[in-house]
Amino acid sequence: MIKKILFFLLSILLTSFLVGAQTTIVNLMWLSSVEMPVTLMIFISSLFQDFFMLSLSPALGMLPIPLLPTLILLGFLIGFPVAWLALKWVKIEKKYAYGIAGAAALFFIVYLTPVIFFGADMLAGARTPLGKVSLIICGYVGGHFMGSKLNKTE
Amino acid sequence: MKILKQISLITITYFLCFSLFANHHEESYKLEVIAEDLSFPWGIAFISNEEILITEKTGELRLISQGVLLPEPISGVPESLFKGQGGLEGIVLHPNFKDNQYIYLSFSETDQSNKKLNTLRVIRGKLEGTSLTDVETIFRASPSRKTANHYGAKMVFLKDGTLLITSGDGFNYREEAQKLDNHFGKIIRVNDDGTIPQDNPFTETPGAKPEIWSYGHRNLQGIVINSDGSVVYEHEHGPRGGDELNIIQKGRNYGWPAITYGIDYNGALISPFKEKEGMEQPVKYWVPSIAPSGMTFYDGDLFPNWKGSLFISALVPGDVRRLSLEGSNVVAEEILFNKIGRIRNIVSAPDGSLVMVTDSNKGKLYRVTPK
Repeated sequence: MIKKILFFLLSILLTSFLVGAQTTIVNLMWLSSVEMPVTLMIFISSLFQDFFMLSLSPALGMLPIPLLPTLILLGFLIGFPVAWLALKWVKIEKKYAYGIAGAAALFFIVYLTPVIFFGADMLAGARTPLGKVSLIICGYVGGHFMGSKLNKTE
Repeated sequence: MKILKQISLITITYFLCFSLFANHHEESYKLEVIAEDLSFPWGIAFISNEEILITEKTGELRLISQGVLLPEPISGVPESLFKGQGGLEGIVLHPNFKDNQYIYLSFSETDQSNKKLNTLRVIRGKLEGTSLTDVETIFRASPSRKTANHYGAKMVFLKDGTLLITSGDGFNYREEAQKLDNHFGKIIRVNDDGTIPQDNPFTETPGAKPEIWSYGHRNLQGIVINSDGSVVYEHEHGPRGGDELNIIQKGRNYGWPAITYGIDYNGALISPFKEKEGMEQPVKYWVPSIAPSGMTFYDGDLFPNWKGSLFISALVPGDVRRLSLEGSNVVAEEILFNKIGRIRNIVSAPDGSLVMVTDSNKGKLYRVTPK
């Protein structure tokens, strides 16, 4: 059980890191396109800063917890039990079922946030269709990680 | 024992002086509510000291006459989109208002060709009694946006009779602020009838919108000129930190979002850069944010000590910042009026008093006069 909880938390952290990395890449690609001096050092430091700020730092003016991992946690808390139930009837490998559940969780986060904020995407990387797809893939990877770890433990 | 007495005496004298100074400071002005129950008041314009026009974000233009808020709003005002940060917002009188009765209003409106989209529109109309007539469109931001955030929507007339309009970046479209083919994150300059002045900086630039006066802005909610009209001050909301006060010059790039002192609301970097050649630096910036919502350049006589200061209303935590200027430098900042909540706007009245409104569905209009 402890192992499962650990994998669950790791899957959230992995997804959160990937979402942060996607944000970093989207921002730096644009900055580079307008001839800002984006170097490898700036890329690495931005990557770490985004991971720290998005995944480990409390959100300003809201609950004293990191917002992105909390959103992902809520998404996975719904998605993963659904995947677990679905596996009782559908013959599919665990890693794929959990991957789809992770993707679905990110799908809802990415598409519901603008509904709350009058059309505004709070994740900079979610402002384009390609960006939205890549964030959903991040969710898939997180879920896939969880599913594959469950396969090994059971 | 003697030393103890001396210490006690010094301490008492210190606290007496301090409390006298504090009282003097507190009592140098008084706040008086001159109207209340305003529905998200936003813009303020003085016809005279006794007649004040106020826009309500919910879509109505109200008139306060002889200290009384008229129950009926001004008729003939076009419908606006009250959603998110949008609604009926900016208001400014034509410099020759007494002769032509023109007022200018800025507001968000639904795009009629695609109802999922909306945009910023500026109109002018003649104020005849309590009706707005001869309404004509002066400016419409292009392209339309899907978000209901960051409209800007402040206006000021320059001494040459042209009108500056602030047009926000629409939140989702921040990178567009660095391009000249759209109105996101720009200051627009038009003639009083909406035509484009020939001396605008990008009229000859292929693909550029000819109305653009400056670019690289975020959500600009304050724009004023100094007393002789030689300096244009503008302030804009940063994201999480990085609110800016800028001096606006023709054709300049103010950097957003390539350079910024703020980070995204979720904590992510928007840009690791804070300066770049060819991009203007703010004359002042705030980290953490104060959410600057309105501004006035004080040139009145009621408060001689405040003459030549900029007053900036702030939504967070809810106060007014008085900035003392020396040339273009901000040399001091004083926090005032911090007990009345979120302040949406502040303007100087013709008699030299200051007038401000609070940001609420039961907004209040305050007048500040010497005690």
